[in-house]
Amino acid sequence: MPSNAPNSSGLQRLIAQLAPLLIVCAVVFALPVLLNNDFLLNKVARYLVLGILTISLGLSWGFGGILNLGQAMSFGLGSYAMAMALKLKTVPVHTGASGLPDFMVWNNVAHLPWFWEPFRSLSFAIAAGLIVPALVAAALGWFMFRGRVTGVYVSIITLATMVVINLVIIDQQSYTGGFNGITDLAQLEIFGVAFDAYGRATYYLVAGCVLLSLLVAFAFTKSKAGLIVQAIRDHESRVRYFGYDVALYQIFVFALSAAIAGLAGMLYTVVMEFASPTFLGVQLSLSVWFGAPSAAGKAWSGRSSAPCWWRACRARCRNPRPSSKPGRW
Amino acid sequence: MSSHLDLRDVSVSFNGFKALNALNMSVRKGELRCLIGPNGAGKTTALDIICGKVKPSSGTVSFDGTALQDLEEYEIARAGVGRKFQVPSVFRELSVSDNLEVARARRTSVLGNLRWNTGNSGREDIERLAELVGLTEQLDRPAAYLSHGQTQWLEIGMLVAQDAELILMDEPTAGMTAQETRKTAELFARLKGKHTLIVVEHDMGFVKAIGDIISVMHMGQMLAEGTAAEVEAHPEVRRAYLGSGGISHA
Ligand SMILES: Nc1ncnc2c1ncn2[C@@H]1O[C@H](COP(=O)(O)OP(=O)(O)OP(=O)(O)O)[C@@H](O)[C@H]1O
Ligand SMILES: [Mg+2]
Repeated sequence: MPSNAPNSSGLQRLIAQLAPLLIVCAVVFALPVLLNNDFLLNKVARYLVLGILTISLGLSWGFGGILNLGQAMSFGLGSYAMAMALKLKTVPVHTGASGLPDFMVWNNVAHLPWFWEPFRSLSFAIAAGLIVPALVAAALGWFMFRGRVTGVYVSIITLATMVVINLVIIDQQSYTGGFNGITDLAQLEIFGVAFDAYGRATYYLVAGCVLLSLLVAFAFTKSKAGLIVQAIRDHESRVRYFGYDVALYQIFVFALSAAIAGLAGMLYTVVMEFASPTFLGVQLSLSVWFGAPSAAGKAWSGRSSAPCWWRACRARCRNPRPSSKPGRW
Repeated sequence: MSSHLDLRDVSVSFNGFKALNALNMSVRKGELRCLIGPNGAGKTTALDIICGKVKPSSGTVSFDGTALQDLEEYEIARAGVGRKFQVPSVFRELSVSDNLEVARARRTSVLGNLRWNTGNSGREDIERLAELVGLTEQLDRPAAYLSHGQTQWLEIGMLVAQDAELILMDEPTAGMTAQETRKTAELFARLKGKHTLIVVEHDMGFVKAIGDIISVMHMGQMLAEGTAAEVEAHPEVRRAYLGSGGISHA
């Protein structure tokens, strides 16, 4: 056998795996040409954002085997980061330009709170929308995985943490807008391009982020670290005896998944034009969870080391069709 | 002469039952030590102590001057200890080649492993390992589809892939045919010298074929140590195996 044979067959396999993914993305990108309806386009963009959230969940749950019920926590944190920045870009009616956001005035807040201050910078807000969820997940993961918490306890802890953050946001009305969330936002503007929720620019932004999330998730699943995460899902304790610090791998995949969910949250704010405590609510978190059971569930039954985030995406992006084949990839 | 691995007065109790009772054992570098003993003697527990699966209630384990008893399992593995389990433990969902790839733990950090593993040298390495343990045909099949003997071979191959300085083997030939057992003995003879091995075995034929020095455990203690002939002639060993048909039928 020629010495380069395994490599070229590996390349072919890689292309075969990437092809369906790229076809879906091509369809997503071509949709605005066929669909001449701004309202529908916004609706599709919204579903695509939830698709990104599902990809992120597929990464930690389906691929990493982490029974994470609180994925909407990261989603919500991302959406608030974006909403805070866009809120500060509006011209408040009461106080004039660069004044306090309206809901703070209603709540008798005199000065912009210190943690709002950096959100005057959009770049900071975007970085925060990715990094804050990742850091929160890493901190939570540190306690859970260092303590070798597994299974249903992970579900309880992640769900409980999300509920606590949700309650804090509702409770701290003067800083967060409480129940109503943060509404009446300015349009996102990057490099002079304005992203109207019902415009094509926003749709393409979302589509681009779908592609980006898919590629990041794909690259991770194909890395050796991804392989080790699969091995941990399969037989956690065995992995330790090869010298891998299992907790760090779990923390990493958990934080990566949270960052992608944060990205989805930021986009959701742009598409919906507001942020609300319901974005990190139990209902949203669980509905995404049930959005991909056929996808991630396959990972449980084992046998195939298939990239389940991809199936998760397929279940969301196309019609949710229960995959009847275990998948040979 | 300083020893490579040193267990000093190691005791473990499970709910008051002393599985190990002040166990002492020293192994030299490059040695292949066989560990035998009747069922429940504490052989598996002794290996569990070395690799960190079980923490001793008292006593010390030193390896190359490092105190292992205070380290985490992954730290012990990084210090150069590999372990094969009595119940074959492989990644059943993963393919044979992925199993071997996980075991090739050259880099252990998350960030160091983020690069793609499509390297050619890695693939060649894995094909060589698969040939060594006779699993070339099974490389792309999930490990769940392997027979019991093949699973044993896969785990042995994973330990070769791991390339640990000290290799702990718990009943590696259980469930193998006579021919497969002979092949395992040949492989171990090749590993000896380059690696230090501790092999727990019941098959006396196998033990005689591979072992330099045999350690006999009984009721959590070291009963005797010596060559096969010395051990078999030892009166206390004979007594320990009494009723189980003698040492060669243990
Ligand atoms: N986790 C545990 N909890 C309670 N008792 C245990 C535990 N592990 C081992 N034991 C007991 O400790 C004793 C030693 O067990 P060990 O598995 O080390 O024996 P062994 O020499 O490997 O036996 P075998 O030849 O049957 O594999 C046994 O009596 C066993 O029942
Ligand atoms: Mg045993």
